[in-house]
Amino acid sequence: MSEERLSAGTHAGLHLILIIVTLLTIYPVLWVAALGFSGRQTPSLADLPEDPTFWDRLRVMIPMPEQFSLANFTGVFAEQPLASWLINSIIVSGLTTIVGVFMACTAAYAFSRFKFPGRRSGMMMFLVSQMYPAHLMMIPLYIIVVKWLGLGDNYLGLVLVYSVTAIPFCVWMLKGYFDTLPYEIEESAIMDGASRTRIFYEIVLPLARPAVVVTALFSFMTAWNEFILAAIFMESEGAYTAPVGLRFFVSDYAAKWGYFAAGAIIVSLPVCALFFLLQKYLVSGLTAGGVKG
Amino acid sequence: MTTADASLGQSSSSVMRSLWRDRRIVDAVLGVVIALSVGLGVIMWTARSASDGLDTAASAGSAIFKAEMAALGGEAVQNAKGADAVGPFAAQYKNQTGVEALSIVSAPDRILLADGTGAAPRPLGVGDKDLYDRVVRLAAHAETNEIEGQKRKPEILIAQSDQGRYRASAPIRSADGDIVAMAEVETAPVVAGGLRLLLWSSGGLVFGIAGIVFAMRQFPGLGTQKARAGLVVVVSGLILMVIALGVSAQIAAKEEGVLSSLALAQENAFAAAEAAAAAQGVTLSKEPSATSVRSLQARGTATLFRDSALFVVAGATLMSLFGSLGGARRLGQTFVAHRSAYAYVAPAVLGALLLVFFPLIYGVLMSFTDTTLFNVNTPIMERWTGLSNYGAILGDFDIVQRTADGLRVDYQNFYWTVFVTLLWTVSNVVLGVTIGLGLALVLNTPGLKGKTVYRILLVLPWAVPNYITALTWRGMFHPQFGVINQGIELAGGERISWFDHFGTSFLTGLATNVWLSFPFMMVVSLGALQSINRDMYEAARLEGASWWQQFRHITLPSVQPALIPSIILSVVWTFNMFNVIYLTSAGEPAGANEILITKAYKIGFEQYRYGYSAAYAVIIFMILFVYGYFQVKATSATEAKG
Repeated sequence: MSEERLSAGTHAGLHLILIIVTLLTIYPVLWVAALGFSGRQTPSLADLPEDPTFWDRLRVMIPMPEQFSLANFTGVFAEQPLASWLINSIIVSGLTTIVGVFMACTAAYAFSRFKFPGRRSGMMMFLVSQMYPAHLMMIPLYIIVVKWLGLGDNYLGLVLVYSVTAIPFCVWMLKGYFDTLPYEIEESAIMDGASRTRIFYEIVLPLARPAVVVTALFSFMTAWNEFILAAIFMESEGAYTAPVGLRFFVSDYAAKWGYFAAGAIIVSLPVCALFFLLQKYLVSGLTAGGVKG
Repeated sequence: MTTADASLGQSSSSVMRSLWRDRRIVDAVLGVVIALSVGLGVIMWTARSASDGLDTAASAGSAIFKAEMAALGGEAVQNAKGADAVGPFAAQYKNQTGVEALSIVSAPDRILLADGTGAAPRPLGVGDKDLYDRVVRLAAHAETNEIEGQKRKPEILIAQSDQGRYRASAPIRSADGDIVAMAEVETAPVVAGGLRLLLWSSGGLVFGIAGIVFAMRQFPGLGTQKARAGLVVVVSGLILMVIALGVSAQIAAKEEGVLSSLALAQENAFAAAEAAAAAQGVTLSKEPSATSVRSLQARGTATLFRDSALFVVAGATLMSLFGSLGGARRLGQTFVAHRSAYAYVAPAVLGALLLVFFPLIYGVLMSFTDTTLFNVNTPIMERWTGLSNYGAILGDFDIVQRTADGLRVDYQNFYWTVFVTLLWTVSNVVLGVTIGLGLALVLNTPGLKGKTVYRILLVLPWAVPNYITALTWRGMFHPQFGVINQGIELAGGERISWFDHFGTSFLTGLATNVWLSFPFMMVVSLGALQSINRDMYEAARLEGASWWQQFRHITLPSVQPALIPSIILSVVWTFNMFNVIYLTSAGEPAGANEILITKAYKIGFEQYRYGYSAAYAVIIFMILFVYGYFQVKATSATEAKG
């Protein structure tokens, strides 16, 4: 804890701990990367000889492909429908972002700027619904969306469910930001005779652009990473989103671990990048909800 | 009003005239009449459909019994004397039971039709395609039921043809139990017997109006307009309830009659089959199967009607009371006054109502039914089973079963799953917080080099989508090729079949989830640690405090406000961590590692028992609700203290 007491030796010890933990932490990531570039389909990085020596065994564990190959990456597009799954994912996540952020923006603006009966209970409603994840309601959602509305294998069903489930988090994030915007600007606009709609679209939204962008990226990430509802709603192989497709590679019926690894790299690289971009907002957004609850 | 008043006033008595002049009474009577007419309309319409339902059950039920017995007799005659003897049997059976049409499709090797005319059975013709299709359908249903081990598909087909006739088709089984043929009857048209509702209703109406007028006369100066309106609504509601009770008594009597006539119909059909078979020198080998009358939807009609009618009337009364006391107007004014605010929240609120709260309510309703994939499109009341799902889930305490091989844990038991879920949540959160806080403390060491690099690399698991993490770890735990088993062999150990034992399978999930969840705790702790004023440690050291004392009295209290909300959040996340369990261990072995949410999924989407699964989800809700309640209480308590 203190500068004086920590000797060089202690520092070295701490570094040793950190290096071991870090290696353990990044190992699975390196493993997937190595498998992806190995061109192999079994979940091992090299074949063990008949009578393996210690070094053979160690070789199998080191996350470096025996021979570098892009076969998995080309195969996943040429022989497998990953491209159409990615397109499905992009469409669903994109539409989710647009619909969800629109609904969240208007609601957050009203919660931030208007005093009206039901405001408190409305905000509580969103907060409470955040505690109950959508997959708890998968049976009724499945029956309503797929059986009644006939939106199975359809982008619309997923988009509606995703954008509504993303609303609570987005509303809380945006409301927090709207609260920090000075009300005087809007007041003077009202004085000048601007309508509420005009103020919202031409003053508030441009001012809140950073928060809106962050919220939009979160919505996109959430929809992009969602697995179980997509697995329930999208029944035919052509309608799969990327997560459902990746799972399909390594289901009981097929064990194409190489395709999985290559697909996983392609699918997660953009969201990992987004994550590091947005990380600080994510922590504050998540814990803000927790503290208020 | 005045012209009507004048023309009416001349001829009627002075009492009538004074009544008519009193606007309050006119209003009250008009209110009662309107309320009662609407209410009566609803009640009669419901009663009518309940009564029709009973008629349906009666005639469909007797059709089923007749078809069943024809099948039983046809089967016996055919087995004993061959397909040619089925013709005379059919003719006699038709004669005795008075069915309109009877056909027995018979003989597995060459399909013959005995149509009850007494003629010798003939081969099926082109015109008999429908008949043949039904045989195939029955056989398919029976096969499905056998594969699933449950009687989900109907093994007796019943259809309503034109003019109230019912056609029932019952299976004829071969010696080894396969459905090879069927008997089919068509009953005479049914005349629906109505209920004498009108008498009851008009009696109630007169009685109600008299009561209201009496009340008004007794208290002429009765309060404000609102109070009068409220009184009108309440009295009308009470009258409607009395009427509903009376009608439901009638329906109950009819239900009783239908049930006893069904029992009689079954007896008669059996006697007829026995007699017709005896005429062919054959005795029936089997008793009639006890077709559950509940499946004919006769039993419980009256109770269902009563409950729903009272519910609707009570609801309508409350709503009208709300409206008559000015609530509706005030609500309208509020909406108009704040219309822009409501317009802004409308999309989000509508979305949430449609796709969060409606599914929630529908899910709760469904948890009281035996909904499956096969009956999901029938009206919800036909699937209603009350609390039986909850009874089956919560009332099963046979967690440990005694078998020939010794004691065995029933992994399908709810309480076992609860135990696993709690073990899962607690072990994950404890490990996640310990590792996260520990790493944060190390990373917060002043003057440590390379912090940023460590930090970015250590946060990596959080960035990877969790389904990819889960599948990756499943690959690493692969019993044959997995890198973890390679590591164990490298260290000189034996390979482990990770997913074959409860303990090892649990560990795979635990390792995966700790790996993906500790970064969150680390980031939160690190943020809190960095905001601690270093002078406090300086002061503590001058006082001679040990490392532990500093940690206990400075670090921990400072980290706590940030850490507790994160722990609360992470408990809920872990409790519902579907992806890791489902994708890594898949609950193996034999469902031992299932947590509540994955169990609910498997019941719903692998066994197609939607109602049962919904009950599981409701129980999970309840657990989360209780947790949330205590969490809010605990949080506000700490806030009050601080």
